[in-house]
Formats: sequence, C-alpha cells, structure tokens
Amino acid sequence: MIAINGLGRHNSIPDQHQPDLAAELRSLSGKVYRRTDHFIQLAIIGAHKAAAGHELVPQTAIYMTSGQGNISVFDRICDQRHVRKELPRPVDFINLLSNSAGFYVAGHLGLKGKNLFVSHQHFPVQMALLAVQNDMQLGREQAALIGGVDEWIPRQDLAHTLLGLDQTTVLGEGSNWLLVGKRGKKALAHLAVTPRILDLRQLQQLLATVEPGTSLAFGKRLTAAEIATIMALTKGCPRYCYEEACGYYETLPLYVLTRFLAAEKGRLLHIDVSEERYMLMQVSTQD
Amino acid sequence: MKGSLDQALKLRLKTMIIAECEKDHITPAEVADHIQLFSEVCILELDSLDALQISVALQNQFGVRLPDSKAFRRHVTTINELADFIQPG
Repeated sequence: MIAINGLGRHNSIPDQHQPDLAAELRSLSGKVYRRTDHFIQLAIIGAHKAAAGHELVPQTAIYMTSGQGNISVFDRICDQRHVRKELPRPVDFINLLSNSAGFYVAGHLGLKGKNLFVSHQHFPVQMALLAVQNDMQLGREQAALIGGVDEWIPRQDLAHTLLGLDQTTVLGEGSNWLLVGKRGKKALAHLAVTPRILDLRQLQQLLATVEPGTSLAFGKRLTAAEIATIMALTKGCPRYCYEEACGYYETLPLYVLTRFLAAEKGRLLHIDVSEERYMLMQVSTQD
Repeated sequence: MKGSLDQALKLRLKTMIIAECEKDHITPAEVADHIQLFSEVCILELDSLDALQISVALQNQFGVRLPDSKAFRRHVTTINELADFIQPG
C-alpha cells in the first residue's frame, strides 16, 4: 500500500482540433518549451498540477504510462516517411521515443531520479502502479510521480481503429498524475493494486470479500452485463459513475482515481477488464 | 541570379529556419543576411539539434543533401552563403 500525497488531473473531450496546450502550459507555469509537441505538453501539465504546492525531493522518481503514446507524431512520421517519401523531422523522431515526455517532465520539475515509461498492452495504468508499489515496498523509491497520458488526435478514424473501438465511441484525452510516497498520516489516501491478473472465478472470489460501502468503478471496456453481474455480487457497494465526464482513452483508470479522490471520501475499488482478464486497484481515504 | 541576390529565396530560407527551429518570436527581417547563423551574435541562438532540423528541412524542401556535419558547416554559414549554395546562379 502506498500513500497518495498529491493529485493532478487534466481531462478533456476536444472537438475537431487539439486544444492549444502550449498556451495553457504558459499560463499555468509561465514556461513554454521549444521542441515539445501536444503529447509532451499534456504530460507536463498533468505532472505540474500534481506537484503544485509540494516540495519535491530531486530523487523523486517518474513512472509514466500511456495506451497509445505520442500517436499524432507517430502518424506524422508515417506520413512523412511512407506517403511523402521524406525524411522525418529529427525532433519528431526524438519525441517519438516513449520516454521523451518523461525527460521534459523531469526537466520542468527539476527531478533527477529514476525515469521510467511503463508499457502494457492490456493494463498500462495498473502495471505502472504495480511497478511503483513494488519499488516502494522494496525500498527502492521513497517518492514518485506516476502519470497516465493519452492524447486526442484529429484523425478519429485512425484512433478508433488503433483502439479497436466502434467509430461512434467518443474519445477524449487526459494527463492524470499521482504524487506518491510511503505510508503517512498526512496522505490524501492510500492505494493498493492487486498484484496479479485475475480470471472471472478469481475475480468473483475477491469480490466476495469487498467491504460494504466500498464504491465500485468500472473500466469502460466492461459490458453492461458484466457490470450487472458484479453489482449483484457486491450488494451494499454503490457504483461510482464518472463515464459522462470523459471520453475514452486507455489511461482513464488514473482519471477515475484522481476524480474520486478530489471530491469523495471513503473507498473506491476500480475494476478493469481486457480479454476476459481483470485487474483491481483500490484507493481509500480512511486508512 | 545568384541566391544571395534573390530576396525571395532568402526570405524563404529565413522563414524555414524560424519555423523548423520554433523561433516564432523572431521575424525574418530580424535575421541578418551576413551574420554567421551558428554564432553567439546571431539572434536565432541555434544549437546542434537545430542544425539537424535545418539539414533535413533543406533536403525535404530544396532537395539539397548535406551528408555530414562537415558539409553542413561548409555551406550553412550565413543566409547569403546558404542561398548561393542552393542557387549558384
């Protein structure tokens, strides 16, 4: 279990165009960085909000994850290379490295600790949180910033195809970050990720042990039937609804946690699914 | 016409450099034709990554290939010399 000391949330459903994040970053922090693109600016904004008001030690680690990564630059490089038969812009090529955003976040916040980008096809947020949880428990890290970043791109047909979603699904973008440390009395909340991927039987066994009053949030890939089954197994646990407030992106679970912690008290169990496998994580403001 | 006498070409080069190096706060008129682009006195304050950006942009937009850093340093000195390299006249 790790302590959550700070939250940073940036979430939107753009319409037709990517929002001008350079201007937003400038107004938020007074800084603007050359050679950054939308994805990197998105990452900096979320991390900046999570760190605001906290004195970070320079060794604070960064764990960042994303479902799609820097997809608009990836699309542009593919167009340059394979359609226009041109060389890719060097800055685009560099920014396509998954950890480029982490490099800029570290520079923005003056951090010199570990800087990791965690990739996972099915559960990027849960696996990144698990990595932090393990490193904290093993004493490898004392404090960390963990963020999930996904951008909205104007080419919605491409985004839907890559995500394997129906073309009518509303997509959003977000940069949601937690500042975590060791268990402490001043923490906003505590977080625990179940350290394994579960099948349905294992999920049902675990759900039988959920304390009444725990709110339940469901990943957007769970079907209505799956949600109904789980709700029936967890009587006395209300559903936490967030779905109306955001479009789909793969790091939404971090948005759900930060949204809950910013406005609610109590326990939240987040249940996510991918290919009939489940992962759970719980935050509690009461421990 | 030699490139250094072609005002339209020089404006295009300056605009390209400003755009590629994200120096949007500088106007083409502020970039002098005869000042060394990679020097401390140049308003652009370019670095090695800017050199790479410019090199690729020259190839994509003008078909000029600068295969190594030596070739780049030889031809991308001032706006006048770069223009003459692209358009010897």
